[in-house]
Amino acid sequence: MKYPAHIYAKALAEVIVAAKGESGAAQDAIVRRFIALVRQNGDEAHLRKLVEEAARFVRGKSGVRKMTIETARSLPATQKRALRALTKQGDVIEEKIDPELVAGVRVLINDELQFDGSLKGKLDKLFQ
Amino acid sequence: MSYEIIEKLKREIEGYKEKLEWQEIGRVIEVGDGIVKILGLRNAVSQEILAIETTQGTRAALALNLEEESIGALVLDDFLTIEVGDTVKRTGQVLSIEVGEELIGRVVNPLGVPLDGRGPVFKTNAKPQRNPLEGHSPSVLERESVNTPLHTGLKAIDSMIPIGRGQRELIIGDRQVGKTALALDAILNQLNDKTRRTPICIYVAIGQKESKIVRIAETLKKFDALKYTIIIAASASSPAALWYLAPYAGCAIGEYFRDKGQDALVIYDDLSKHAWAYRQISLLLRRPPGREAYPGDIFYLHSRLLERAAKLSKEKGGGSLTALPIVETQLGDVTAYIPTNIISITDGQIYLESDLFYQGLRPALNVGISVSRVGSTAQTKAMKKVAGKLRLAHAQFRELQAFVQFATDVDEATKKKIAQGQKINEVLKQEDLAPVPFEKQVCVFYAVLNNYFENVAVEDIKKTEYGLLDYLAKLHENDILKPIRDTGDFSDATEAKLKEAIMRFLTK
Repeated sequence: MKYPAHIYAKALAEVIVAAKGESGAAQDAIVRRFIALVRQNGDEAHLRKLVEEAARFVRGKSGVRKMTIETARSLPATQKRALRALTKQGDVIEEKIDPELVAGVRVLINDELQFDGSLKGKLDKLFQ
Repeated sequence: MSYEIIEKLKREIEGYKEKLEWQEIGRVIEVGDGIVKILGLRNAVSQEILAIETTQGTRAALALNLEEESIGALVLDDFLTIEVGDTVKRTGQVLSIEVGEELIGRVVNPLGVPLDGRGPVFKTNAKPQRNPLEGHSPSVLERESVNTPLHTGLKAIDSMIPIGRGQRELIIGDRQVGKTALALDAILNQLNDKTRRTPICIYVAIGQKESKIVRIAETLKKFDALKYTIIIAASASSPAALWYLAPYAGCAIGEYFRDKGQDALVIYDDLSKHAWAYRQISLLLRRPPGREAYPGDIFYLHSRLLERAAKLSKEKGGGSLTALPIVETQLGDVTAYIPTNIISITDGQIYLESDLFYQGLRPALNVGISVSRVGSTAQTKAMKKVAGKLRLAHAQFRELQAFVQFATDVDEATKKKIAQGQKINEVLKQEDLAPVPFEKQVCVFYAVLNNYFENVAVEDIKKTEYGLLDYLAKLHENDILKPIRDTGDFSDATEAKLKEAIMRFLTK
C-alpha cells in the first residue's frame, strides 16, 4: 500500500465527520473522490479494510458504539428484543450467526470488549 | 472405560465455577516472522503476555511495541498457526520463569520448558517461585564491593586477571579461540574450590548448535559438574524470540540463588548472537535502525542485563551473581559496535587472540589488553604475594623478545630474562578441561618466578610442572597445599616448606 491503512482511514473519517449535515450529493462526492484516490494509488484491494478502519475512527469520534451480537442460530423475536433493550440509542448493531458457538450468546463492543456467554467459550475454559 | 471418562467429565463440570465478565480483546491484523500486530487491547502493558487464540490452540506472545492504535508483539510459540483475525486476550502477567533448586542439573529452554527428556522440572502440585525475566538490578545500598575470588582454574587468569564473585568479566575473541572452553573450565574448577561455597553455574547457550550444547552437557556430566549447573538452551534452530529471552531467563534463575544468599555464575554464550536476534526483532517491529542496523536501545539491552550481576551486602544475604558474557569478534576487531558496548559495561575483559592460539599458547590470552578492574581486591593474599610481579615479568619478556629479534649479540642478563619468560609462557599454557586448583597454581608460580626452573629446559617445563604438582599433592598435601587452600595466605613458614620441597624435588 502506498500509505498505511490507518492514514487512509483517518483521512476519510475526518472528512466524513466534517461533512456531517451536508447534502447527500456532497457526501457521495467525498466517497467517489476517496475511491478514486485509492484506485489511483493501486490500493483498491484493501478498500474493505480501509472502510472498516474509517468506520472505527468515525465511531470513536462520535461516541457511537458498534455492538456485534453473535449467536449459534437465529434468535426468536422476544429474545432479540430483550438483547436490543440493553443497547443505547444510536448504537450500530450487527447480528451474526456462528454455529461454532453451539449455544448461548457472545457480545462484542467496538471489537474491543467481549462478553462470552457461549457454550463454546465455557467448554474451551473447562478443557484449558 | 468410557463410563470412567464420563464420570471424570461429570466431576470436572461439577467443580467448574464460571465468572462471566467483560473481557478486553484484540485482533491480529498482521503476522510475519515471529511478530504479530494486534489491533485493540488498549490497556495492555509493555512486556505483558498476550494469549492468541488460534484454531490449533492458544499461543503466547509478548507485547513489545505499544503504539497509538496497535500493539507489536513477539510470538513465543509456533507462529505459523496464527492467522489474521485471530482473537487476542490479555493475561495480566509479565514474562517470568519458574525458579528453584529443582532446575539444577537440568537443560531447559528460556521459558523453563525441559529439553533433556527427564520429565517436568517441578512436581505437579508444586508452586515454584516465579522470577520476572526483566528484574530490577540491586540498588547501590544493597551491594558491596567484590571481595571473594571466583577461581577459574586457569593459571593465566587467576594470576593476572582475577575474577571476583559478583563481577562481570567479558570473554572476547574471534571464533574458535577457546572462549567456551575457558568458560567451561571455570565451571569445572568450582569443584576444586573446596573452602568456598560452590556457586550454581548457569550456562546460557544463545544460537549455538544443538550438537555443541549436547557436547557441553556431556562434558559437564562426565566431570560431575552438572550437579551444580543449569543449562539454558536457545539453540540455532529456535526462533529469535528465544535467543532474545535466553540471557534474561538465565539471569532470573541466577537471581533466585543470589537473593537466597548463595553464589551464582552465569555464562552468556554469546551476546553478539543475542544482539543479532534483538536487531532482527526490532527491524521486524519497524523500530528505527541505527548503527549497523541495530536499534537505538541495543546498549541498554545489555547494560540492564549485566547490571543485575552483583555482590549483595551482608544485610541482603551476601549472595552474588557473577556474569561472564562472551562476545565473538570478526578478525580480531574489538572496536566494532557490540564489543565496545559490552567492554564499557563490564568490569574487565579477557581477550583471546587467534594468532596466539595458533602459536600454541592456550588459553590464547593477550595479557596486554586483558584486564580485570575489580578482581584484584578479591584475589587471595597467597596469589597476590606470589604472582604480583608476574604481569610485569611477562610484559618485560614480550618487550625483550621483540627487541632481541633484531639484535645480534645479547648479554647474559637479557638471555636469562628471555629464558625465564619462555618458561613463564610454558607454565601459563594449559590443556582444555584441566583446571588447576589455586593452591597448586601458587606453588608453580612460586617456583618459576623465583628461578627454581633455571636449569630445566623450556621443552621440559610442562613435564617438570606436572611432576612437581604430583609430588606436592602426594607428599605435602597437609603441610603446604592445605594451609594455602584453607587460609588463602602464603605464610613464611609455608614458603620455607615449599622452598625445601621444590629443592628436594629438583635434586631427585
